[in-house]
Amino acid sequence: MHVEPDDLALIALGDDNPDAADHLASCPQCSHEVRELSQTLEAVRRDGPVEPQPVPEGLWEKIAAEAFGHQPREVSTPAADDTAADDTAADDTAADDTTAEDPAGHVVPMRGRQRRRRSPLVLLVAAAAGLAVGVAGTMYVLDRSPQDSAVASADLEALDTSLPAAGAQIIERDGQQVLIVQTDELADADGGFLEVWLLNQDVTGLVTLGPLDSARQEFVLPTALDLGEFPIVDISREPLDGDPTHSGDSLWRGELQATQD
Amino acid sequence: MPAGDYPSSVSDADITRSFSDGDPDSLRQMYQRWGPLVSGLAHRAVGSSDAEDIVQQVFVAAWRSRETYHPDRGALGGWLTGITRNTIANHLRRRERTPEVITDPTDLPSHGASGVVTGWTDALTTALTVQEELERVGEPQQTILRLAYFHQLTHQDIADRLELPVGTVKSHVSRTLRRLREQMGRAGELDARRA
Repeated sequence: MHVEPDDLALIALGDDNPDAADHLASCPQCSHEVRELSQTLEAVRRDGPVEPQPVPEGLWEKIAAEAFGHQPREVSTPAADDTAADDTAADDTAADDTTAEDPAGHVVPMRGRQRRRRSPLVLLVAAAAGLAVGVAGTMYVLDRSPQDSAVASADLEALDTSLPAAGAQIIERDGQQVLIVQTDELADADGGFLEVWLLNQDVTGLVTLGPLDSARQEFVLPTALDLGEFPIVDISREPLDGDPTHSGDSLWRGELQATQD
Repeated sequence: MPAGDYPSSVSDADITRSFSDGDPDSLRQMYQRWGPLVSGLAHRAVGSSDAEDIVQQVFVAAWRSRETYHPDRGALGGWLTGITRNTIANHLRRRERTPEVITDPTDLPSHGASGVVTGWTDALTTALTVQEELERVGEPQQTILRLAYFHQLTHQDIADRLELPVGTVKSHVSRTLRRLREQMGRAGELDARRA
């Protein structure tokens, strides 16, 4: 009759148990068990204690911002209400593929807007193929040279009522897609700079087009860029900190729609 | 008061209740209560520069997955320590996947000069397993176990100090040692297979 397992543990812990001792002398099984338990106890005593470390200053604020705010550290996997999140799209075409990040921190998301169905009946110029067709025209009219024809345009909604109106347009020139951004007045960069991005529909991926430093500016789009995938124009205010990720501080945003001619 | 030294089990119950209710204040209370323990484990595992990141990930993950916490499966501190273990494991795994250029293939992760673990080791497994079990059992068991394992008081001394029957003390101490032996034994097998 072997020793009870709990009693073996107590022996390993140093309890005196003369009856068990007799048994152990002739039972390899129970002796082995006591040895294992003793080794465990040794490891527990040696490596188990952990010195608590004081938590660093300012860490709670970061935790609260992330847990209770809306700035996920990385592209979040979609929750139950997901309709489209295709994480690979952002990485394939993003100019800086290590930093795809949800910039929807301070911004009014455009997701609430009803998605327009892409009309197969309208002939779209190749450059803007895949963009939803705009039914009404845009309100903001960009200056335009006569030879350029817009294939897509967008009103850029100011996310801050103090900002002037802005608009964007895609033209085709010399076989290239060109994005023109125009505002009545350039917003203050607050010691940083303004940056122009193209976002995908559910704001989980983004492509940077570069800094905006005049009230009207053109950006030649990368040839591989599919505007159908990245139809949303976003202009943000960025700090001069060398961090290429979107600051979350968007000033204007609007969705490009193919124009009907 | 350092985390783990005779903690107040009444306030742990309050924190647990408000956490289960989804009260954001509870996260701050959890941070104050267990932050130093999580930070200590993170330091043991990854050193001081990455430790802060680990701590942040743990508490954010705890908040986001609060609906997966079930009080009947163990105390909140134990659940949180389990999250810490997983966060550390993921971090170390990610670090392994993007290793620095190793010119000597026999140069494996090992203890740094300061004794800080720079890879997954038995010592780290022990620390995480033990702390998780200590937290999981709640009070007064945790205090009994610490006095027995770390302070090496006799069972009678513990019983006297905590005004508990010596049989209760012995039963907790022996059962937990057996459970730890199971968990650490399993972990060791996993490590051996992974190596």
